[in-house]
Amino acid sequence: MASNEKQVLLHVEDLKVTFGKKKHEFTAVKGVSFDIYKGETFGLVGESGSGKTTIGRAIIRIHPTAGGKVIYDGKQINGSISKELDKEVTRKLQMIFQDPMASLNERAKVDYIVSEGLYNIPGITPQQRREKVAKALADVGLLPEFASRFPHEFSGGQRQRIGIARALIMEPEFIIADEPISALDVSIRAQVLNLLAKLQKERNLTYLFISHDLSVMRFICDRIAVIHKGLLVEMADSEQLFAHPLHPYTRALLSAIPQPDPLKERKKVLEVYDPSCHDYSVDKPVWTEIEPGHFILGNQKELTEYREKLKA
Amino acid sequence: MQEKILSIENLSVRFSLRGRILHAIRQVSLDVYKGETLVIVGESGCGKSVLNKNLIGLLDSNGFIDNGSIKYYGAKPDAKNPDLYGEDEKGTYADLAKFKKEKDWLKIRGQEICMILQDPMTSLNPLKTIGAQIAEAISLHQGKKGKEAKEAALQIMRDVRIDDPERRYKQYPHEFSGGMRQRVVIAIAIACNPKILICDEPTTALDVTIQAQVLSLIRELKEKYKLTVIFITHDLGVVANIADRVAVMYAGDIIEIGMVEEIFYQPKHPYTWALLSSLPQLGVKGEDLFSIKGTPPNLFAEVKGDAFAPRNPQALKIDFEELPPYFTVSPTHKARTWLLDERAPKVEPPEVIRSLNSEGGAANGK
Repeated sequence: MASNEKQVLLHVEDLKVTFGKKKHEFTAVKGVSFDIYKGETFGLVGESGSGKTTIGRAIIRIHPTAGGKVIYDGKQINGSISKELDKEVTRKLQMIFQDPMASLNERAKVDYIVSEGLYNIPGITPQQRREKVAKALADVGLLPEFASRFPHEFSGGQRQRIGIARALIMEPEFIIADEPISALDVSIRAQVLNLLAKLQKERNLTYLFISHDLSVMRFICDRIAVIHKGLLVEMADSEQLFAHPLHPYTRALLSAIPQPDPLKERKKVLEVYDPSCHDYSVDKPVWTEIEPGHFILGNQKELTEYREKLKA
Repeated sequence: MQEKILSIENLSVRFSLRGRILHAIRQVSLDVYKGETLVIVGESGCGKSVLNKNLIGLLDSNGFIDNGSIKYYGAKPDAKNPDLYGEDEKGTYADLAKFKKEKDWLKIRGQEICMILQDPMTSLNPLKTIGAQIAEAISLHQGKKGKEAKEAALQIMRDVRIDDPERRYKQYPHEFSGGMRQRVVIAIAIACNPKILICDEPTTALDVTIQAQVLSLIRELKEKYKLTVIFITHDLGVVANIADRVAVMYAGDIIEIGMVEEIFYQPKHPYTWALLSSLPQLGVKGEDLFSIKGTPPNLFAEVKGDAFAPRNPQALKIDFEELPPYFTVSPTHKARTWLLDERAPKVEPPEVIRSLNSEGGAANGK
């Protein structure tokens, strides 16, 4: 897709999220800006505590934002918004959670878990609801009769499918997948990744994919943003990021990916990121587009170095 | 040949569950050599954890060993319980399959064989300081008391790369991050001074960057303390770095075992192929990732033939009828698949495996 054809679906500008009050205030997200285009898979990668999940949750209005703008399809959706818009957001944006063991209500049947969101939409008859549940379950590769079972009767992979069905039933346009495969076995991971890719093709969904594992990201994401301590440090097309990682933190993440190849693994040098390698005391870092579509955080001195690396 | 430290022979473990019998470990034989890192890989439910729980006497109370022996060469015989010990051409051994009493296990658990569990969040006592927990293991197993124990604990904390050990010594588990907690758990295990260290998915709950650090830490400690490591995981991707040998488990049986290069570059069993090709690292973007269809077999029922056959699209007729024996590929590599029989048709491994093979095999000089 050429860049002028891309349509921005979600625009995040200088997003800030803080927790706690006054003395104990903690800024988890310190001003993050990015665009997500319609139909793409945008990856957000970082270590635990970097604020990647917080961004996802702020977009979907679980956490209030402390500053900045979240604009979805031309409308601002953070801060105080009208009731109608809130309902629209709830329907169009959905989330898939990390741990399928913890994110399903143990005491509710699958039927209720999957269709809970529909109860808020007036004018849906019980008959229609049941049909929708059966369809959503079929879409994720589960049998319709599973609707009358409880979550504990399912394996991890099946539970994650229930979590996906629950998001799909609202017919969303935008799905935030928060580490949807981290808690799963490798063989099940492949199934869930394939399912997500298939659904995206069929329904032209847009994904925000949050993970700490770059190896999965490369496989599924079109563009990747790397986040560290609440700040984006690098953003680029997946292949570009893997071919020319510039920021030391990105390089550290890449070097940590385990390769299924004993000989390469043994030769590998693990890069460890030490934030003190930046000297930002005088020269403040800026978020710069260093080559088309490739953004990086760095001060003037570092940017010159990065440009030279790109040329080499 | 290397010196054997542990030899599992025809081990069979069953669980009685609501009046039914589940056959979790089906006649497994496995040798562990001194100083090696053996990785056991398989899906959840394949019995890899159950197998290892047998080694330190933590089998759930409804499970029992109904056949086989676990010979551990390295324990001093106990005159009071001569029937627990035996002797063969390799020397005296303790038969862990016969251990029943908690008192007997105390001689093995910790000081001989030690285990690191998956989740560092739940394996530490939240009410005691980190230092006290490490020192406790030291005083129990090395007989050091007071200041001496503290010194030893601090030394071990330095060994597992916990910065500023003096300050960290007095802190509680909740003040540590996940990766740091896993280091503490490793420190406690090392403090017992074991000969065999079992790591049960020690990095699953950790970030990729921390995972890489913990793996290299385990490798380092193995050299320093001359440990034998048994490493359990479901992710073949992580083991290339640390493994000497890899055993692939499926439905309570070891279906392929070999040196790490053999498993990655010349895998023979279709299940090993499937595990390797489902790794996202090897996936091609825009194409479906290979995924294993179906579910593992129900172990309540007796498994007939090759347990993986129902999920293997290229299964042969005999796979459903008769259990394949181990075919020897090289002195260190054997696999339980009829494909290696001389009468079998030629089935090519999937493309990803072949490309891995040509890259690695060439570098390997094969």
